[in-house]
Amino acid sequence: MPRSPGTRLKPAKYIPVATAAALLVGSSTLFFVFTCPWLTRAVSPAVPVYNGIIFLFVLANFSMATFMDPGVFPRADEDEDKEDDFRAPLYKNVDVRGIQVRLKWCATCHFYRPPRCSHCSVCDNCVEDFDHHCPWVNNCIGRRNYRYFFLFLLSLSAHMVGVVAFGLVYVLNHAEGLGAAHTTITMAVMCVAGLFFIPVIGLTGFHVVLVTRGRTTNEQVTGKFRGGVNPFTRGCFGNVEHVLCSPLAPRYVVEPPRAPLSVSLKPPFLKPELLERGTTLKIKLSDNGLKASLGRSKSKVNLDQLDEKPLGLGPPLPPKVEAGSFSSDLQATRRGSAESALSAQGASPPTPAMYKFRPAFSTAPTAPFCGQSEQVPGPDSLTLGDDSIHSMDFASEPSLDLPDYTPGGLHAAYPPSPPLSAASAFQGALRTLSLKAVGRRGGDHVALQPLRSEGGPTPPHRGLFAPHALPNRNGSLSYDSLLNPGSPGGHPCPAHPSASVTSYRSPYLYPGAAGEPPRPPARSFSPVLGPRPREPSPVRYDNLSRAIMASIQERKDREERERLLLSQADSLFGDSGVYEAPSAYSLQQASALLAEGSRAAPRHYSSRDDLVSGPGFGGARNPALQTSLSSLSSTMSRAPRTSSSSLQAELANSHVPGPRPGSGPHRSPARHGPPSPPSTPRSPSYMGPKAVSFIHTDLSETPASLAMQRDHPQLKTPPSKLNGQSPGLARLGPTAGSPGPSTSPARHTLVKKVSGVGGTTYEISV
Amino acid sequence: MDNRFATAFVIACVLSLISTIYMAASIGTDFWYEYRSPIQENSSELNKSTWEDFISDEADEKTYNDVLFRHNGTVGLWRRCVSIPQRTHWLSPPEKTESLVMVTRCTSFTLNEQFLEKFVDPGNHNSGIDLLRTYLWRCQFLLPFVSLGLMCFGALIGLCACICRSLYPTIATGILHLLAGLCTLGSVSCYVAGIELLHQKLGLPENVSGEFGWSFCLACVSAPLQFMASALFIWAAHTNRKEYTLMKAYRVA
Repeated sequence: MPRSPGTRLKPAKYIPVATAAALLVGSSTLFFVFTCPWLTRAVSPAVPVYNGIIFLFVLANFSMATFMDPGVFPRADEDEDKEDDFRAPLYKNVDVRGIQVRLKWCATCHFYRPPRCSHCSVCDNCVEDFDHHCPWVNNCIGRRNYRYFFLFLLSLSAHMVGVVAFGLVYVLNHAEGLGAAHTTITMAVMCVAGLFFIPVIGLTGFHVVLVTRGRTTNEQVTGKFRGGVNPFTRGCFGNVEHVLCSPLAPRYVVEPPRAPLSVSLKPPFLKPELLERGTTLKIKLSDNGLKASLGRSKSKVNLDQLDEKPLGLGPPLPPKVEAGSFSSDLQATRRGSAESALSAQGASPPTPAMYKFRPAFSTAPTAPFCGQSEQVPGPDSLTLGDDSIHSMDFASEPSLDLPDYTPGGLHAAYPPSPPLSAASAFQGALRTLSLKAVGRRGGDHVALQPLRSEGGPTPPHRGLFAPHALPNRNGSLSYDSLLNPGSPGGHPCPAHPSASVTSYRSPYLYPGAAGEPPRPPARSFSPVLGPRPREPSPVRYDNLSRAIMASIQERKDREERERLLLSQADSLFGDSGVYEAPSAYSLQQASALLAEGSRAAPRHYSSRDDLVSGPGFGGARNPALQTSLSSLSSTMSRAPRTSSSSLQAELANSHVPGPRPGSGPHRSPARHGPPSPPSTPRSPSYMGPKAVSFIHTDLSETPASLAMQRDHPQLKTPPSKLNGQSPGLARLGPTAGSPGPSTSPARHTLVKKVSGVGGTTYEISV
Repeated sequence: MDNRFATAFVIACVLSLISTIYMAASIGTDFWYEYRSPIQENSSELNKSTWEDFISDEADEKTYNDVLFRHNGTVGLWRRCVSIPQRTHWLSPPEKTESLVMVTRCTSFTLNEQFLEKFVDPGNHNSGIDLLRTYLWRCQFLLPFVSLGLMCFGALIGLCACICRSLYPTIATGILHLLAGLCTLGSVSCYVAGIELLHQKLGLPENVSGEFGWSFCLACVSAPLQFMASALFIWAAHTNRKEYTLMKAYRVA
């Protein structure tokens, strides 16, 4: 029979089976109606019985071959697919009765096909013992339905033979009346049966051969086992018995139970009802009974939640606006700042490019507003910090902020508020940064390292941190002067000086690296030349004096002048930071030289200073670590006053050497000319080198030795004080200041002790 | 698996179509019962009075049945026919009877005649009404039309099912075809019973023999075809999982 390949169009797929059914049923029934009655009378009543039985047999086998499961293998589950799909090689060899049979991986069904199994492209399934896909039956012929197909062919051949034979008998006996209806129809039936008899007989013969040999059509066509031995044959009789008499093979595809069908039918009717009624609790409760609808109800609930969020966020904005209108200007400015922060964050996402632009814009307005921030007490800054925190919360939902900010248009109605709000927002940001910086400074040295790493990608942050860091350092320098009597105690310790040196270097490297490249080569020259390291030391003293003078002038002048001075002070602080870097190297070299010069002196210093200042340092450091941000802010506000008072006292002491200021102006014009008040603090710096020179030249003069002893602690004080923290230094300041009269006798006693040491040296020299 | 249900649907449609054609043919033709009588030499004796009685609407059941018996009559659901030789010349010799040409003349039953009461004694109007024969006669005429109508209605439902691409409505088609098959069987049974009762009443002449025609056979064959079609329709709809697969695809979407 001609086998048309399976076409994609469904209607064409069923034409062969329809034709086969029509011809089979139509021809047979016409034969029974028009030919059998005469045969019954003329030949024998057994004729219709025989033909009837064969016809029923043909119909039965045709039905079984058409509607029976041929032996379809179910496809592999997803779990099996995941495991095998990546590892599976295309072929696998299996031994069947000593002969290797190749198993192929089926990409559609995701398993290795068993022997004699093949994938039917029309049915899109793997069929066991696949013979062929028969279009006349519109089904695959496999292990389960092959026998019925075979019997169908046999019975159909027999039926065709019978119809043609008996029809011929009838026609021959009615040759006289060929025009009659009966004769005409009988001849038509004979023609149809005769036409289809030839291909049917051919197909029947082909399958008889296959059955006797134990092969399938698929194996015959593809040429498997052609040259070798067929491992599936059971001998001629065995093969026939296997095909016709073996028990029916089991079915592998399990039909789903009827319950899910009933469940699946309900959803399409429930959905429109839900949409029409809307989401109500009653409907949801009823839906809970159905397993299939649970997922859908959940998805709807999620959608409702998403819809509710913007609605929920809407109400809180109007009361803010109303409160702003009713509240005072200060509150309005604060809330305006929060809202402006929202607008800034919502409008422009946080990107490094935006960070670069913000500080440039903020530098100008921050200058005048810094004064206002200083006037405002600490708790205000904390509240602004809270506002920034709230703004961060809103930023977490950027998509929702945009539609919610439509009330922002109302702010346009208040012209004075926009600039204040923008400035206050930037102030809040700066304050948060300053608070973070303070925390980091108070922390361990490890905290300083991330500052360095962060500085690289964000240069503007360096600019922001520098002015805040430098004044604190200047404050520490001022504290160094306060702790002058206790300085030798810190320096002689072997562990502390190394730590102080490393920490002292790290903060100054920032401005040095960022500022000017030519200065590093200057540092390299300093160790080579001995006299040069002594020259930078007076610069440090000048800086200290400048800070003192600046504080004095701030108190005397008005608010406006104070603002101008602050801007100048910022620039001076930057310069002082730059100068302090080389001074570190000079201090190290000076300490080395002193150590080489006199070995006995440091030992005596360490013993005496430890007894005097040991407990003070310990007590100061422990509470410093435990202090909170509020205490830090309070100490910062109090520190400058105490430092200024102590500095003034030191200045009075420094005026004692009268002849030294005469030589001062000779060096001052080379470094600093215009400022007249700094000329007075230059005198102590001038004393240093002279004293050193006198010591080296003349050892007999006792006042020269006293001056030298005083200079040593001054040079060593800054590194030791740097070890300490600002709050600790602040506490040490008032303690040193309050016992004013006691400190002077302490100095006298030191002088005496030193003289004692000098006396000992005299004894050795004598 | 859907392929098999679609195949069942297609085969059921084919069987339904074949049975419809057979039923229409059996209703349209008039070879339900045939009488065979030998050729009478005295055909010239047929007088006009007898023919007029056969043709007229007022003819009695006994009258036209006598004519059917003697002149190779055939009876259908709505028409009766007789075959008589035709004389071309008045003076033709009687020994040439072989050259006679048989002419068939038919007369239709009127609706009134179809539903007219039957009498216990076919020729005697006063013998009383025979209800059994009356209703058998009426049913044998009506049931084939009912069967044909049911099948057409079932086909219409099947067409709608195809348009909707759902095999579930074909259950209705199957049930209708089952009813049609029952009607056809009923019609055939009524006809057989009616004929037997008629022959008992009148009694066939000695030389006359009667048998069922090919129209009757077509009706007999269409009944099992209708049963087979209904079985396939119901099986395809009941065990179809197309709905299930469609719902599965719907969930995936």
